[in-house]
Amino acid sequence: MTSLSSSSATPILRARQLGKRVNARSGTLTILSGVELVVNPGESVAILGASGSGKSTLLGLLAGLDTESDGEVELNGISLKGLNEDQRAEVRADGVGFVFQSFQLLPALTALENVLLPLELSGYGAAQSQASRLLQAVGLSGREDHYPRQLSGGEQQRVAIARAFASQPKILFADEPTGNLDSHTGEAIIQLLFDLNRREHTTLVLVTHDAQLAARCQRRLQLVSGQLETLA
Amino acid sequence: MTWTLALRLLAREWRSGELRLLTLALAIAITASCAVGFFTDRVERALLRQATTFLGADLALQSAHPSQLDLRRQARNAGLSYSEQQRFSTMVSAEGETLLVSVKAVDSAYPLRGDLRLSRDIQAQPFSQRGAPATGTLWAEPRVLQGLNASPEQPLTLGISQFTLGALIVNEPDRGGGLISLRPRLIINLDDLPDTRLVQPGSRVTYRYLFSGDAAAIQQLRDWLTPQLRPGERLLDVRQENPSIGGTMERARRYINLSGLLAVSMAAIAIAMAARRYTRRHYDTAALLRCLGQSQGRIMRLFCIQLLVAGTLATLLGIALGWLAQWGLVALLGELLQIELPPGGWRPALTGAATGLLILLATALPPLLQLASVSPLRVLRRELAPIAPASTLIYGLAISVAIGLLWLYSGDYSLAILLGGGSVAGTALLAGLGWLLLRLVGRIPGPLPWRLALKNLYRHPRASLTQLTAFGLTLAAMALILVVRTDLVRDWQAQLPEDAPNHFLINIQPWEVDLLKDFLLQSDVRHSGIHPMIRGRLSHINGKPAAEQIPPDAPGRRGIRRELNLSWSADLAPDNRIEAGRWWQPQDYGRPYISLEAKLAKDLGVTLGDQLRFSFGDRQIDAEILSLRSLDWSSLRPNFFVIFAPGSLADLPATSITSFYLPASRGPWLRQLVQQFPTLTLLEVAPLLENLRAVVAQVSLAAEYVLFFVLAAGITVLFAGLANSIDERLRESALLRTLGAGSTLIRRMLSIEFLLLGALSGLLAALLAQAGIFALYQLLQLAPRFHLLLWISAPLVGALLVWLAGRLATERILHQAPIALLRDHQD
Ligand SMILES: Nc1ncnc2c1ncn2[C@@H]1O[C@H](COP(=O)(O)OP(=O)(O)O)[C@@H](O)[C@H]1O
Ligand SMILES: [Mg+2]
Repeated sequence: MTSLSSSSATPILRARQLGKRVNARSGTLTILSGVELVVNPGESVAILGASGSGKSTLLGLLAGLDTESDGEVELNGISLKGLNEDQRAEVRADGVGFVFQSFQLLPALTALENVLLPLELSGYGAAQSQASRLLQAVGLSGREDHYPRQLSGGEQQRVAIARAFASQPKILFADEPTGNLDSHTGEAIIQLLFDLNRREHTTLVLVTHDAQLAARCQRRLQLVSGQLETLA
Repeated sequence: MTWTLALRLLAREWRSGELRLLTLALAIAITASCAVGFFTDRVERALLRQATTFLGADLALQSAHPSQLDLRRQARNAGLSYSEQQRFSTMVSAEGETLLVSVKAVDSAYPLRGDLRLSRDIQAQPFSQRGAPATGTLWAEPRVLQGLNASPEQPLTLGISQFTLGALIVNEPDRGGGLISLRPRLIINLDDLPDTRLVQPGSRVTYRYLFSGDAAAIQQLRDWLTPQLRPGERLLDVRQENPSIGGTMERARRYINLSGLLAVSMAAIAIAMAARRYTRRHYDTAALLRCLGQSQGRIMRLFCIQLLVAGTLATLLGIALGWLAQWGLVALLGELLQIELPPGGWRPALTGAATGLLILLATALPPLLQLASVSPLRVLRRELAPIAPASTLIYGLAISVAIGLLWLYSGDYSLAILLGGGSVAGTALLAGLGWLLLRLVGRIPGPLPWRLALKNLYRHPRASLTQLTAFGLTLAAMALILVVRTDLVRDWQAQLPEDAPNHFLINIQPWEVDLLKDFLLQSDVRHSGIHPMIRGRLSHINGKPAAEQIPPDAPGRRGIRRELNLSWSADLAPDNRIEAGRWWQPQDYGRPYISLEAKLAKDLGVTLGDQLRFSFGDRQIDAEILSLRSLDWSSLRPNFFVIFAPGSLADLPATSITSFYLPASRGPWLRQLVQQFPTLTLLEVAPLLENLRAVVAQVSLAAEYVLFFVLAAGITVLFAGLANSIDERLRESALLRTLGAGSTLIRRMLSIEFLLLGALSGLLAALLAQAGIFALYQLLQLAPRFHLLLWISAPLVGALLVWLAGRLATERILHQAPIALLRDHQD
């Protein structure tokens, strides 16, 4: 097994012999097996793969949203193995951010309130100014009071990015953040994501099937038949 | 911290409209149940009060001897009003003329209930009076003066005292003794009674101790008194004293309880539907919160607090609206009937609130618990939705909670059980039949919008079936309440037709019968037949003394305690029905056969073939029961517990009785009658009739008002049910539009879908309501009928209602660009 680590600092994310099998109608389906991954703080890593290759499954495992069949994930120095749902949630609460392909904004909340939500959840009551600063940073000043349905896809994803950075995460997981956007808008979103990432010194794990987008990351890995391979 | 966050989220949800349907459903539900509750409470109390005027109190202890208990103190301690009376028969005289009268000696609290109306003289305007006559004066029915041939100024002698006439009695609320009291009434002050020396040891005096006030305190007093009753004492209440009023009230109460049960059950379904929709729309929120690191417990707390707060607000709103609705009712009823409605109690508000919140918890918690178990992975994989608990289970739970609560509240066990069982059976029936109907209709070919509409109904068979069942149940409940109300009101009004007899003539001498018949015929006054009447006492049953066979407190005592009005007749009166045995034939005439009223027979424990001995003064007659009759006491015709075969009482002295209807405009004719037949006694029962009519009018209006709330609750269910599927429908129609379908096509498709859904629900509802009619009418003492109109109108009205509600919900959005729809309802 090749080691995929690149530096010697304490990794923020580590996967060992990670595997995922699901029971399908025609028997057991192995989606991932023996995945090894080490991500150091401040790094940006792209995970590439064809549609259906298991990228989302891997991301879910890495972020502790799902339980592994084999192996182990260590996030922020904490092994997720054997933790129950709530304990894993606690790990996520402490410095993990997300950006999704389908934005996942709450339709009942305005743009500002969506950004505010993670702050409020972790108990920062008067975080209004921080939230609107973030909205400003993603280029949506003046749109604070708009509901998701009043925003375009690109604008919704900007709100989602602002929300992801609101809790000042140490690591940010993004699953095809441009998947639902046209290439031009996607480009702008990616620019934004990397800018913020750099500014906040966040670690970025980006899942995509877009090679161009992946090229902006420091490291590129590819999922092929359930295994991770390093790309040049 | 969770609280503030929950409240903040709640405020945002409210602003964005997400919570509105649930809150609205809940508020309307609570309004309906509160209003029905307030209403039942108030109207029932008003009705009871109206009816208590027949007794002159809420509760009375009647005794053959002075009570040993300190009832005055007991009443004072319980916060009840108290009054005492003594009643007896005696002779009154004026200048040598004497007359047998019935004297009632009252105290200053008289009458506790009802309106005593007096007048200065026959021509004067009557006025209401409270209290006893001033000492030394008395009040008398006009026929006392007639009978004595006395002028109003003449002093009247009772015992050894002299009285002057204070006023004439126009209407005495607690006339008692059935519809007719034979002896003219005198009322004197209880303080004057000792001086008359009329009451001596051994005199036949009836003592009455009367109580009125708070219903709970009355009940307590009743419970306290019952075990202490001694021989010769009994408790009287309205129901026993006046079977026709008691029956009307009983059915009214049943009806209102039924409406309450149905309104709250429907409200429960509406709440369950809205809660389901609420949770379904919050799967994403829950998943995202999990992603953001929230524990299951905290997510639960967040949602629960939101739901509770929204529930509480809705509850308060509902109570306020219910209260308002009740005032509307008071304004309506008060003006129409000119009677004072007692103020509403707090209980309905509390019950309404408890009902609403409990139903909310029972129906919203199971789906809410799922929110916590939403996998955070849903943010990556949309299709991961928690397994929903079966909707029938939730609705079943909702209905059970509602019925259970109302069971507790109304105490009407038979109704609650019938309704509970009925809705379970009904749900199963509707689901099964609905499935069949959907399959049948699906075979019918048609143009594109029709096919698309059918596809929509089929694509989500469970959702369609759930809606069909819920709408069917709702429409059935609405139809049932409507039909029952119509039948009840018709039945009540039939009891008291416009031309119900409002005068009685008694003391008709045998030689006057034919003359009177001719006179009435010539004057074009319709009467209910002239019936011989003779008073006799039931002394022996099958040869043994009756008093030994009937326990002192058994209901059968009423048959032997006082003299019964007996009659004989060749023909069966039109409102009498033979329940057992046979009516006599000419060859039976002259034989000692009797026909006995069925209820009295049951109370006496006798049946066909048993021998009863009656004593008439010193004459004794043994008679065999040849038939049992049921009769309608509310018909205001002369009715008799015991009727003899013609000829068997021939040689006993009897007078006759009749009743007739005379419109108020023909009042002067009465003077002619009295001149022609000076020895007859004329009794006017118009005031009593008016009282009965007021009860019926009140109950009918009550029924109508309650109906309104049942309908409101029903319409909420329709809205909530449609809202549950509207997202799906909108998304699909948006997709169709992106595929190039015009809005006309979509509108047609949606219309067909709603019309079909409504019509099928209506059809199922008609079936269920008809079944309900057969089951319920037993309880309501109505004759079940087949209602053709129900079968025609239910599908039509169902189609119209669902179509209207559906189109209202979809129309606005049909004008928006499809992209907005796709974005708004994306998942
Ligand atoms: N719970 C599951 N049950 C069945 N199949 C699954 C499940 N989760 C993922 N898969 C399958 O695993 C494969 C990888 O899915 P996914 O991780 O979503 O791929 P990607 O994100 O790379 O497109 C797909 O073929 C998907 O259908
Ligand atoms: Mg994917």
